[in-house]
Amino acid sequence: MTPFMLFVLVWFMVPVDYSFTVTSRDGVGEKDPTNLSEDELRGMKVNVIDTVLHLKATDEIPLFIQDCGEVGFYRVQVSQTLSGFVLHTLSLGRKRKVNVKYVCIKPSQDIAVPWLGQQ
Amino acid sequence: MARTTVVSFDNWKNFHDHEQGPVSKFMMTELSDDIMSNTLDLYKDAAAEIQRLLLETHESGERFRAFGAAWSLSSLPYQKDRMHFNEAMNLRWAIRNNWHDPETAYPDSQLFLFQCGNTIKEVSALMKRLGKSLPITGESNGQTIAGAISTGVHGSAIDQGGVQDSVVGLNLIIGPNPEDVVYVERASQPALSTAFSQLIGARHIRDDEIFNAALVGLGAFGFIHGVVLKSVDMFHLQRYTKDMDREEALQLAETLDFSNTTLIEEHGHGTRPYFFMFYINPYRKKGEEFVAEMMFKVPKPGLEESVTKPIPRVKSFRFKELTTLLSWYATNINVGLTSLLGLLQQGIFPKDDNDGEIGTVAEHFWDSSYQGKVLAVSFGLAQQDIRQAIGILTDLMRTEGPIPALAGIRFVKGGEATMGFTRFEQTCIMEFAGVPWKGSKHIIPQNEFIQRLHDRLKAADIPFTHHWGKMSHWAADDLVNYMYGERLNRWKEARYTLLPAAFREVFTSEYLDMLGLSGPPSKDGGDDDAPAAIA
Repeated sequence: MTPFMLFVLVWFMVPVDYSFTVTSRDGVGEKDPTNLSEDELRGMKVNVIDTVLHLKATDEIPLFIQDCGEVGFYRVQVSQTLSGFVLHTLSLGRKRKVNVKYVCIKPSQDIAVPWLGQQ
Repeated sequence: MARTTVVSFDNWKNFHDHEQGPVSKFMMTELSDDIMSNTLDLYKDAAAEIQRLLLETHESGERFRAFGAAWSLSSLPYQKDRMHFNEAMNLRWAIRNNWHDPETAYPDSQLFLFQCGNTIKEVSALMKRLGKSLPITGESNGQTIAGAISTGVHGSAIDQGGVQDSVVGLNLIIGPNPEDVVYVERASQPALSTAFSQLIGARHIRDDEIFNAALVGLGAFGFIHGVVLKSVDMFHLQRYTKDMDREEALQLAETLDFSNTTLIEEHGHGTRPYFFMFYINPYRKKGEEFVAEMMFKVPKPGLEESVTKPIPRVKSFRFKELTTLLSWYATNINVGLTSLLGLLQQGIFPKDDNDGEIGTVAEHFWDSSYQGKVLAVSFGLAQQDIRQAIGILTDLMRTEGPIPALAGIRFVKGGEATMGFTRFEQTCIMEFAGVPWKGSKHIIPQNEFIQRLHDRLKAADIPFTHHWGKMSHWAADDLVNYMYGERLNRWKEARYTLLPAAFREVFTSEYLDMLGLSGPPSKDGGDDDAPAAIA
């Protein structure tokens, strides 16, 4: 077996997707009933950041600015893939594959306790 | 103005992945983002949008079915013409006593108005801010309030009813005209004044029959726009599990008399739990079948106290493929299935690792996630029948099985809803849950299993009902008539009294047609075919 074949074999054998999800304990996610995906984001309104960042040697951790209203994020799922890791390594850290899915908190009108009939 | 977007579906599925069918107009309404001086204007604006959609539906000769979280396992939320998703309609208010009727028995700061799309989690969140809580919820919190009451979501609080039993008023939209926005409450338990109805732009109706019928209305009593709920003072529950001998378990199930029992030493002899239920694995050897889960009311833990909370910091999930695999194995091989049910037991039975954890209702019955296709069938029974009924179920699970499911018993105080499945004075809920399966030479088809269960219960003269939001062999002959007898006609009469004639057809579905629920009441008001078993 050549080193290349070994590399390809390892590529397919190593679990290529390790992801984690952070969720709000008290919030409620924004819903999308047309989302029939078979994962923990089913039924939710999912926003996706899927890009490759080109970083300068002096750049630190990038900041993605997203519109999630005033109350914030309900759920954020970060995926790391082997191909992303290899890209990052081979580019000496200049290229960073980013794959994030997130769900915003469901909008609501009340900030304080809403009493009926209050102007 | 509230906005409605429309898409279509070739094959709509509910949250639990059960295929339902095509939908020609799948509508989703969002609240207006115009600046309005009062949130009540947003509420009335949303009502006007719903009335517009209803008129459009009527003019096109189609049917209209509202739904929220789509958690029901039955086809209740499905309608092939027009389905309406309303979870974004989530306005909510606490109600001061200046809106109370002078005759009301409800104290100040106990009542709330929730728009239909609020989930149970949102309901609990607002109540918490005023030190209040729902008395009980279902096992989780993702149902919308309108969906939860329409199907009769319950927990297992032995002296409390289901979620629908916390409802004191309903704001329904039954057509396109101004008088078609109504607020209904019981004449025998008045809550809010006519000034309140005027405030929300509704016609005030006080009628026990109409309210009790509309309470579990199955989507057939118009569009539920708002729900007035009563709350209780916030309280904390401490949870335990305990293996229990079958005989001891059944004696408790039959009586709910805890005066001679010590469930948990720390809580003393004869203490009645707030929440109590059994999980049953009939494929385990005798003495190991029953596990009890119970919760006791306790004071709020002090800040210095170290207590285990019900919501974990990290929650792990089994591979969803395991349930698919189990279903395939049950259908195609089945040999040694009972050993594999240990996997199912891990997912369904409560874990004893966190015995003693303390939390509020909202914390104990927190979020759940999509876990692939699931099976859940629930029967409502009178308490005196539970021993015989659970004997029939576990016997069938052994003789006709093994099936990929485990059983359970819950307890709910009976409610006043005409078609509530918790209609027995002290309702015992007998259920089996697991993964759905298909019939083969190795295993009885799922619907045939349920049919045999129906037959055995009927042969033993045991009246029963079915949870509207769960699975059954719903197409079984005369099922609803057996379950509800004369109540069925009362429900239809109330529906025909409330709804404008032109809109009765709009608020129905093929599913209700199949169950015999969409037609007119019988003229003599009787129920010619009611079986003797109806209690």
